[in-house]
Amino acid sequence: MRRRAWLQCVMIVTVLALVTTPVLAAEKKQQPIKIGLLYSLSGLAAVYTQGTVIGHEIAAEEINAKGGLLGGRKIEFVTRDDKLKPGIAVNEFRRMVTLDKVDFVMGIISSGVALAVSQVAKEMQVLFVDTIAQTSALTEEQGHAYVVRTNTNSTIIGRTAALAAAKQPWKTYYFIGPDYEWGHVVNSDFWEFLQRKQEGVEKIGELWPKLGERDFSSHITAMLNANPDAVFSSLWGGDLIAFIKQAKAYGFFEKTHFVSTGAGDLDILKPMGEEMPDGIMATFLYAFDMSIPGKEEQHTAFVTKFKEKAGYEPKSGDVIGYVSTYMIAEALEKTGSTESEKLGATLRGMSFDTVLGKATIRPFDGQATFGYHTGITYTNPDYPFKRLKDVVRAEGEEVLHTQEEVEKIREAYAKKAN
Amino acid sequence: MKTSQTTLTAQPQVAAAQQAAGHDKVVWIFLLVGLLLFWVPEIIMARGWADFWIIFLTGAFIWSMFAVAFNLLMGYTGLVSFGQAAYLGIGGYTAGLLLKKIAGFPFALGLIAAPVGGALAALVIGWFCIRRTHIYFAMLTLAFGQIVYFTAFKWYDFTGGDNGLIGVPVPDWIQAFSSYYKFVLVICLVGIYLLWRIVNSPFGKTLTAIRENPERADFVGIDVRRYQLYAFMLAGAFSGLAGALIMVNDRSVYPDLAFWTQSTQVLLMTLLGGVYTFFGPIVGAFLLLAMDADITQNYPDIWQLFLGAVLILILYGLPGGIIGFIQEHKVASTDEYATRMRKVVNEFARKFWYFFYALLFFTAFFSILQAPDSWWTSAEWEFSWGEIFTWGIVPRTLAQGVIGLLIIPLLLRGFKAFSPLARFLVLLFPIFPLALHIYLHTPLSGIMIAALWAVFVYTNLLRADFRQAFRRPYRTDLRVAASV
Amino acid sequence: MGEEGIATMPTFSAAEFFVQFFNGLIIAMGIYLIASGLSLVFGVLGVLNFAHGSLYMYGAFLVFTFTRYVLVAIPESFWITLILVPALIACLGIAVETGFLRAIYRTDPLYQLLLTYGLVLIFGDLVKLIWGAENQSVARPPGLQGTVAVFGHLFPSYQVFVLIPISLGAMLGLYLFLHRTRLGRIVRAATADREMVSALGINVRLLYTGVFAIGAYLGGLGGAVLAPMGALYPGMDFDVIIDAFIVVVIGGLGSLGGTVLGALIFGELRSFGILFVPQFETLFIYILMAIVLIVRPQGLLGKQVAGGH
Repeated sequence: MRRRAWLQCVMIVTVLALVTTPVLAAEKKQQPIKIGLLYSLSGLAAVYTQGTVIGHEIAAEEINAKGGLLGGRKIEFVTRDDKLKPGIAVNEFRRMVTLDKVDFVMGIISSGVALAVSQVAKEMQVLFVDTIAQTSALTEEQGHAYVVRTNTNSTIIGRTAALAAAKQPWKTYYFIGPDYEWGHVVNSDFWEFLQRKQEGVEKIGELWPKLGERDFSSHITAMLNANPDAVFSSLWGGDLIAFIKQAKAYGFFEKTHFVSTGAGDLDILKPMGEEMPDGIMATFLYAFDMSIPGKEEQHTAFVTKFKEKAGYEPKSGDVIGYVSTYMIAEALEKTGSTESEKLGATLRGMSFDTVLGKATIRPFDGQATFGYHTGITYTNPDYPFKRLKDVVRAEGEEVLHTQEEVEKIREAYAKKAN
Repeated sequence: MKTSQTTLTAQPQVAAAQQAAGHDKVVWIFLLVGLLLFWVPEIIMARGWADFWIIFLTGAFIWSMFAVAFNLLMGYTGLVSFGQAAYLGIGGYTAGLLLKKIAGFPFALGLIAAPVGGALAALVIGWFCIRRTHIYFAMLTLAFGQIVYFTAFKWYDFTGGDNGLIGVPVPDWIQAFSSYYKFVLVICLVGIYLLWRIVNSPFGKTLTAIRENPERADFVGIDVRRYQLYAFMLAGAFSGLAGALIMVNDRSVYPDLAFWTQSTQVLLMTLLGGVYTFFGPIVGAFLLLAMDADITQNYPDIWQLFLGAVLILILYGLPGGIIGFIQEHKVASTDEYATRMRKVVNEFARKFWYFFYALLFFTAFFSILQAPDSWWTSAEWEFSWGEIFTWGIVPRTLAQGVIGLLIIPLLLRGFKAFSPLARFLVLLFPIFPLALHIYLHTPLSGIMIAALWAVFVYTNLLRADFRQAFRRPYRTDLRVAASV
Repeated sequence: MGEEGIATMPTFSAAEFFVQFFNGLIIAMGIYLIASGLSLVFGVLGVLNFAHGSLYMYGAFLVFTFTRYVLVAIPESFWITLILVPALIACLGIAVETGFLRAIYRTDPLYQLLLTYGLVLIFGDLVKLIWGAENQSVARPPGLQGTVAVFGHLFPSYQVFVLIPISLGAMLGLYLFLHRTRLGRIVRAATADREMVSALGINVRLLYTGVFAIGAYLGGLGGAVLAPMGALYPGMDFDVIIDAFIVVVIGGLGSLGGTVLGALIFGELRSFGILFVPQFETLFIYILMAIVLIVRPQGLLGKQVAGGH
C-alpha cells in the first residue's frame, strides 16, 4: 500500500514537472509609454469609436517609427470598452490605472460618461484627455487640473451653427434633439447665441425624442403642422438617419429648412447615399476631402493610410484620434516625463500646429480651440454619397465661451452646489 | 417554480446535513472566512500585485450579497423578478441623495437609509406584483424596474438625470481601496449571514413550502401573499444596501444601475451558481464577474454572445447550477448498502472526470481569448519540442488531457484503497498544472475555477455517505464491486 | 431635463387631429405586424418568445443585404426580397423551434423565456459580427419615395401603399386562417387542449413547428416591410420587442383581436403622447403596461388568467 502511494507520488511529481511552466521574467529594455484608450466599442457608438482607435494607432505607429518619445520609449495603447455606461467606465478607468499601469487615459465619447470619468481622474490624480465627448461642463463647471480636451465642445457646435443661421432670413425655429444632456445643451447654446446675433428670431416649439428613438412620424407631423422657417436638430447617429428618411417621405425638406449638427459627417452621409436630401445645413469638424492650408501632404498621407487600415474614409472622430495622439506626444516631449500633473500643466497654454489646423489648449479650462465648419449638402458625382459645399469656418476663439463667461458659469455652479 | 427530479432528492438530504451542522458551526465558518479574507489586501499589496484585485473583490462581495438576496426570492420563494435591479438603484439614490443634498448628513445614517428605502419601495411595488404569478409577475417586476429607471433618468433636477449623481461625499476612512474593501467585507458577511439565518428559520421554511405548493400552503393556513410580500421586502432591503455600497464605491450613482440588464445579470449569476442552493449565487457572482473582466478586455463584442451561450448551457445542462451539480447525487436510499457505496464511488469518479476536463476546456478557452496568438505556439518564445512553455495553449491543454487520462484512473484506484496521501494527491491533482497554466493567462477565472474545485472537494468529503464509502471495514466489498 | 416646455400647440384643429390620428394608425399597423407573430406563438405554444425581435432584426438586415449587394442590379429587388426574406426567416424560426424550444416545452414557462432571452443575446452579437456595428439604411423602392394625399394631408406613400395594405392583409389572413380553415381550427383546438388534439391523432409537434414558422414569417415580414422606414442597427431587436410586448400585454396575451386593439392604442398613444407629454412618453408606456398587468392581466381581450398564487 505504502509503496503504491509513493509510486503515485513520484508519478505525480513527474507529471507536474512536465506540464508546469516556469514563470520567465521578460526583460524589456525600455518601458513603453502606456496610454489607456477608453471608448464605447460596442453598442450605438461603436461606429464612431472604432475609427478613432485606428486614428490613435496610426499616429502611434508614425511616432514610434521615428524613434518614440522621451528617449526611445514606444507608445503602447491599452484599449477598453465602457459600453456607454458611466459605472463601467469608472471601473475600467480604475482597472487601467491600477492593473494595466497606464500613465494616463484618453478617450470617451459620451458626455455623461466623461463627467463620471473626470471625477475619478481627479480623485486618482491621473490625467484624462477627453477626445470626443462634447459637454462644456467637463472643462468649465466641473473642470480641474487633471482633465483636458483635445476636441471641440458642444458650445462650438451650437454657436457655429448659430453664426451660419444668423446670416439666413429665417425667423421661426422649431427644435428637436435627443433627450439627454448633450441634446439639450447644444440646442440651448445654439438658441442663446442666435438670439445674440440676430434680431427677431422666435422659438415656436421643441421636441425631445428619447435617445435611440426609431419612429419620428409624430414629431415630423407636429413640426410640419407648426410650419417653422427652420428646424434645428441635435440628433445624431441612427436617430438622425431614421429622422431624415421619414421626414423626406413627408416632403419635410421642401417645406422647411433643416439645420443639423450631425448630418455633416460620413457616418450619416454614407449609409444614406442618394437618399440624403440636398440643401441641408450641417455643421462638422472635418471632412476627408476638405483642403487644409499648409497641411495638404500630411493630410493626404493620413487619409490614405487610414483608408488602408480601416477600409473606409476617416470621419471627424477618427482624425481626432490621430491629432490628439500627436498633441500629447508633443506635450510629453516638452514635459520630459509622463507624470499626470506635470503633463496637464504643460498642455494648458500650449499651442499646436496639427493636421486640422492650429489649436491652443486654453490655460484656464483645458479646452482646445479647434475651428468648426458649416456646409450645405449637395450631390458630388465623384462619390456615391453627398458632400458639403459653401463651407464656412468659425475659429475656436469666436465660438467658445470666453474666460469671463467660463468664470461666471463656475461661480453659478459653485453657488448651486452649496 | 417546479423542481427537477434530482434536486428534489437532493434538497431533503442537503437540508438535513445543514441542520445537523448546527447554527453555531456556521457562525464560526463565517468568522473564519471573514478573518481569512480580511487580510487579502495586505497580501496583495505586499506581493506587489495590482490594486485592481482589491477593487474586483469588493465588487464581487457586493454582488454576492445582492445575488443571495435575489435568490431568497427566486430559489426559496419561487418568485422570479426581472426588475430586482430597481432596488439597487433605489438604495443607491436614497443614500446618495441624502449624503449629497444634505450637508453633513451622517454617513452611517445614509447607509442605513438605503435598505429602508429599498424595503419601502419593495413594499409598494411588491404589493402590486404579488397579486400576479409567473410570467405576469415577471413582467410586472420588469415594468416597475423600468419605471424606476426612467424616473431616475428623467427627473433631472432631483436625481441628475442621465448624468447621474456625481461626487457624493464619503468619509475619509473609506477612501482607500483596502479600507473600503474591509468595510464592504464586514457588511456583506453580516448581510449574507443574516440571510442564512432567515433562510433557515421557520420563516424561510415557510417560503420554501410556498414555493413547492402554494395551494397546499394556503390550505394549511399560511397567508401566502403576506409571506411573499415579506420575502419581497427583505430582498428589496438587502438589494438597497448593495446599491448603496456600489454607490459609495463609485462615489456616484447612475440610472442604469436600475436598468433591466442588471436584473438579468443577477439572474444569470444565480442560475449559474445554483438556484436551489444558498451559496450558489455567491459562486455565480464571482464566476460571472471574473469572466466578464477576463473576456471583455479583448472581446467586448462577443460578451453578449458568451452570456447567451452560458445561459442556454445552464438551462439545458446544469439546471441546478454549478453548486447544484456538485451537490446532486442520484443515489436512491432504497438500494442495498454495498450497491449504494459503489454508486457513490462511481459518482465521485464521474464528477471528477467531468470537472477535470471541464476545467481544462474552460482554462484553454479563456487563455485563448486572452492571448489568441498563442493558441498553437507561444507568441513570446521561440518554439522547441523540449521546452513546454514554448508550446501554445492548445498543445499544452491536449498534453494535460492525455496525461490526465492516463494518471487519473490510477489515482482513483489509489483513492479507493484509502491511502491518505494518495487521496490527498488525487484531490489536489488538477490544481497544479491548471493553476500555473491559468496564472499566465487568466488569473481571475483561474482562481475562481480553482476555488470551485476546492468547493467540489470539500462538499464531497463532507457527505456522510461518501465518507462511509471509504471507511476501512468495507474495503473488500468495494474492491470486488467497484469499477472505475 | 424636465423643465423644458411641452411642445407649444395651443389648440388642436380638426386637420391637425386627423394628421396625428392617421399617423397613429400607421404606427399601429407597423407594430401590429411584429406583435401578431408574438401573440400567435404565445397563444398556441404558450411560449413568450423574446427572440421574436431578433427575427424581426434579421429580416430587416437580410433585406439590406439583398437590396444592397445580392440583387443590386435589379430595380424590383425590393419586392423580390419582400417575398423571399420572410420565408427565409420562417426557416430560421423552424430551426430555432426544433433545435431549442422543443426540448423545453414541458418545463416552466419562465425557463422558456430565459432560453429565448439567451437566444436574443446570441443573435444580437451575431448581427454585429456579420454586418458590423454601423447603422445601415434600406432605401424605399422607386416610385414610393414621396408623399400621397389622404383627405388632403400628405403622408409618406410607402406607409400608405405598402405598410397598411400588408398589415391589413396579415390581419385578414390570420383571421381567415384561424377561423375559416380546418387547419386553423386544429390550431385553435391545440391552444385549448394539446393532449386532446394529440390523442386525436394529430401530430402536435409538427403543428407547433408550423405555427412557430408562421410567427417567424410574420416577424420577418415586419422586419422587411419596416426596414426602409428607419435605420438598421444592432440593438433594434431589444427596442422592438419591448414595444411588441407592451402591445400584446395591453391587448391580451394570446388574443389576436386583442393584438389589433393593443396596437391601435399603442399607436395613438405614441402619436399624441409625443405632443402632450413628450418627456414622459416612455415612462408612460411602462406605467400603462403595469396598470394593465395589475388591473387586468389578461389584457383587454384576453382570456381570464388563473388567479391567485
